Amino acid sequence: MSIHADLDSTGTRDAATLHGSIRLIAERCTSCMICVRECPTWCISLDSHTEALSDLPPGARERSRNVLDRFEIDWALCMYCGICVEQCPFDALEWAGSHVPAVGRLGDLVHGVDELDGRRG
Amino acid sequence: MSGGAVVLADTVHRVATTEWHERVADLLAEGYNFLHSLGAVDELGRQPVIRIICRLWRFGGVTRVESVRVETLVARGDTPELAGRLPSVSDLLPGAGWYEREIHDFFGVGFDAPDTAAPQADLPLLNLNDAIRPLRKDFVLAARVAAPWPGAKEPGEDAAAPSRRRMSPAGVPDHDLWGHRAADEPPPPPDDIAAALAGGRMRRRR
Ligand code: SF4
Ligand code: SF4
Repeated sequence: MSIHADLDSTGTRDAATLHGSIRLIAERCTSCMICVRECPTWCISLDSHTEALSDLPPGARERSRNVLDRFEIDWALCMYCGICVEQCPFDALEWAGSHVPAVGRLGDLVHGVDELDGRRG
Repeated sequence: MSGGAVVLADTVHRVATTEWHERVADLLAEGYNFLHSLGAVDELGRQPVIRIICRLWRFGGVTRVESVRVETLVARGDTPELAGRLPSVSDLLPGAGWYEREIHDFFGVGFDAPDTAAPQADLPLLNLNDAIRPLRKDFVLAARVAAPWPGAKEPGEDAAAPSRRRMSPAGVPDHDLWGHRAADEPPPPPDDIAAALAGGRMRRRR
């Protein structure tokens, strides 16, 4: 174990391991609710609905999948513990290097899919 | 710049409360003189104890850190006032006093000052009411009982379905355990509360 595991050999921080914010990779998210339930500060919330799969072979049992409608992280509550990143079984959440910019109103710290998915190291 | 220091895995010393002070002193004498942390875990549900953990580091140059963890178990008591006590190590490590005050405030464990002429242990860090020891696992996070929990919904559902076995968040026990109880009903067993506080599927009503 290293106390500076996020420093590379030149001593600079690797953007992907800099815990500036968290990125959602929306196409990997199955709306399983695990991160929402594990987050100790209750700062993640999402809406989803089920959709029947259409491209099934004839005679196959009807199947459906969850479709993500809304995914929000409230950065005013997040304490950057990383539990959601650890717990997501689909690697849909990862650390991003960029910090959440300051805003004039508390409500603007609630970021949705557009902001979270667009966030790069 | 170097790539950073390597911290070796902890060597763990499990000691009785009576050996606590002496073991920390011995390790200090061996060069483990950096107080990394001093903390506690309520083991309710496994054993009725509070585990006290002191981690000390010894630096071998700038790149190598040896780490020891001294652990002892203190009786938790059914209520915070009945929690056990431990000799303070703040005479050895002055910074430990702050951690001890935190442990006192959050778990109810008292620390006896080694020098009774200067009984500084047991000074509260915050002025919490004696009954409020929020890191004990049977402490109910009351504000969460009222607040809507985003995890109550099932995947693919747009609202929490009351018909199913509901999920409960950590820190909010089943209403059957914690809610309105008849005056002649005994209080629920602390380990039941602790299990409920871990969250998850609510147990069926008995
Ligand atoms: S980092 Fe921690 S606090 Fe922030 S959203 Fe993830 S689980 Fe919640
Ligand atoms: S744990 Fe991962 S897959 Fe599940 S809802 Fe959260 S981000 Fe999506």
